[in-house]
Amino acid sequence: MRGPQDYGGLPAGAVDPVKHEHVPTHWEKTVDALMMLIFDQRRQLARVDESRRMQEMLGEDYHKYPYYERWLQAVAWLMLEKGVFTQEELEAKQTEVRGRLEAERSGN
Amino acid sequence: METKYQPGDKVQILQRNQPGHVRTPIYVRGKVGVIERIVGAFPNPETLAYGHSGLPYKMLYRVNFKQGELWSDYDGSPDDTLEIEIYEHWMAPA
Repeated sequence: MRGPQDYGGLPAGAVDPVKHEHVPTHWEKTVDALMMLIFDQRRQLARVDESRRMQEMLGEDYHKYPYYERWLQAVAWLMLEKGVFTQEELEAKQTEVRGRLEAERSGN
Repeated sequence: METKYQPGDKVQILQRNQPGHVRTPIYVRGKVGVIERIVGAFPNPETLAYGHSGLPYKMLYRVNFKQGELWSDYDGSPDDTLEIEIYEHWMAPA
């Protein structure tokens, strides 16, 4: 029952007091914008509480994912759960986008 | 919406092992604290997380705990406290 959100009191190393600020990258901003559209009052395809539930389902993997990758994984799982798209559609789209990016990188 | 507790009331957090989207951390379960303030009524995150309405609203309180109550090996000042927000349905009078 103990998810990655509930580690309070477990043994851990020293707290790193150094701030590791990070300028958001373009893709991180894209993920943020995607979330805003999914959560907004008009569409309300999902709620932030549902996203949290999915992120916590990552279990031990929760800590391996950077922040926006967690959000992206959670929203993909939520859309699958709600039947907005299927796993096959998601994979086909990923293949298409990957192909397009590779073509752009190779200068075509 | 009515509040069952008022600032200053002693409460015990329920020792309940519940699956799902629970927002009450394990480290405060079973512990006794004091209501510090009434935060207000909010939709219930335990049902919001599954796509439901979150209704009926649940009253949320800020609860103050002595650190020594939370951690048996706490070696800081006995006056040190921790405050955390807990929903009404997760507490009982103490």
